[in-house]
Amino acid sequence: MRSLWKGFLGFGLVSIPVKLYVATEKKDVKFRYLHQACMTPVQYQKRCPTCNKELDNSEIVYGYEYQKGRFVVLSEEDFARIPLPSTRSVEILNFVDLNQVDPLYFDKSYYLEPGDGGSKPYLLLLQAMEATGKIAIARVVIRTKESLAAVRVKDRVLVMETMFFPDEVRSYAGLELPGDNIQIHENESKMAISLIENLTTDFDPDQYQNRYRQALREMIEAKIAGQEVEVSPEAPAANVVDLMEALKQSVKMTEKPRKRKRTAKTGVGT
Amino acid sequence: MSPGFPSPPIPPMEPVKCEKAFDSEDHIFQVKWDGVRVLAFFNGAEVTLQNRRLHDRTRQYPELQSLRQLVKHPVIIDGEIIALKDGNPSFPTVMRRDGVRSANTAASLVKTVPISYMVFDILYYRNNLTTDLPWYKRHEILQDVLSAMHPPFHVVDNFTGGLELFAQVQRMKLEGIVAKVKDSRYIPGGKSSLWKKIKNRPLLTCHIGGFTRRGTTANSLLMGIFEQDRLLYIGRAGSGLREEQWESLTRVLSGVKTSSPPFENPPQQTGITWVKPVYQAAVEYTEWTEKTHLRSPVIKQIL
Repeated sequence: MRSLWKGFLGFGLVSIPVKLYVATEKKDVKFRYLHQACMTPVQYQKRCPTCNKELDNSEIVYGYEYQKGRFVVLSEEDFARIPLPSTRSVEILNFVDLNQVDPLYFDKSYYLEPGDGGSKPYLLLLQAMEATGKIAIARVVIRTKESLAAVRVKDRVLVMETMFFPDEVRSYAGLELPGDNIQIHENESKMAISLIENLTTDFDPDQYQNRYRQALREMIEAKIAGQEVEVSPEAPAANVVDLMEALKQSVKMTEKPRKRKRTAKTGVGT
Repeated sequence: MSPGFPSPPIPPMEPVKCEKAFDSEDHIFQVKWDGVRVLAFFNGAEVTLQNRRLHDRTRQYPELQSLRQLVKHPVIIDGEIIALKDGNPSFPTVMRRDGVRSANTAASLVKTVPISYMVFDILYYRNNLTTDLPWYKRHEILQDVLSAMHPPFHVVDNFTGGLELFAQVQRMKLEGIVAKVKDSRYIPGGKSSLWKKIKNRPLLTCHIGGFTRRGTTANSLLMGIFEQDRLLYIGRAGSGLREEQWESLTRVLSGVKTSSPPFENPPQQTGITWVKPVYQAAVEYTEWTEKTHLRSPVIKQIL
């Protein structure tokens, strides 16, 4: 596993050197687009429709569309000038109870590993959080983006979940949800609760697999295997036979080639 | 799945070297096919392949999975996987199959680089090891098991005359012959004098892709062969030419100099003058090395 970056986890006056690792990965089956006629992978070009030419990356700038068709251009220097208090840091702001944070806010998960000289303060923070049962809310900068994050203890490691800012979480106000006018009978309620109790187990992530991906992979494997079967090109196979025949014609064999007694029946050996 | 079926790898039996071809009543003679030695294990359910160095090669040759349809009972067979180029077995060509890692690439090469499996022995049949049976018994079983022709499987032929076969092998520029004692058993992992190989010194036409100099004169040639459109570096040849031949060759090659190596896999070495691969040389060699280079090449002729 390669670390995404090295930086500091700020906790009051303490600054703990940490390395950040991505904790999860997508395992989607990847496809490439091919030109059907010749099976060549399709290339993507950046084209300008006005100048009708292909563009080099050096000719491309960032534009912000503030009105339909109207742009302000931002250069690399503009981006560099934006004041960011912490370019590579996780600044702990508060500690809260985990159950107060709705999972809706969580975006991506990262592991934090102590960097050089960080082992002791790392362990200290981890144990203190464990003892108090709290998680930390922090401000973090990853690449050029600032986001909110939760730092929590998982077994022996500090895990950081980047979080959406409140204005990034949409409201459900527009949905049509059941109101108070719907009556539910006590028995119906009992039934539903007992059903839930029956289906209740401990969470065991290993029992869930991506069945679609599995089926997709099996189909791909079958296609690859299918290519093997349809193969056995006549010409090259005949060449080996030609070669063997040429030898046989000029050199005496130990015996006449055996009668192929079973070929008539099945063509398959016993 | 058969209980007691031996699991791979099994080190194959190997022949000892013998300088000269011979005739013998006690022996049979087979062509030594130039390719990759492979043992195929069919345990009744799956086919696995293993090479001489005991590495798994199942993924590289998916077409040999068809052994499952060919035989009803568990078997272990021994043979050489070859690929033809211009009608003759070519080691560099089969190596294009052998080095493949991904199942996808292996599957696509099935069509573009077809192989043949030249089967010459059987080590297990139904529920029994056959290694203690004499060779002629094993060969009978093998011919029964692979009775009809099922490309890419070919049971090799046996010849009575070693001298005659060797002469023909030389004419056809094949790698050599193997002599096997008729009532010898199969000794796994054994270099046994029960099997003897007599090697032809094959001649290969190569393209010249560069040369090294001593002073101003060329003193060795960097040889390549074309595999499809790519020139594959196969080693350096420095013997076989006289001084005045080197001098005239230097003048000729200097006319086709190029700045970048014409090889797909140029050697990491300094002091090489690269040339366009327009001139060819006939080179004699003993065998191919693991890296697909020629062993002890001798330049016979500049073409």
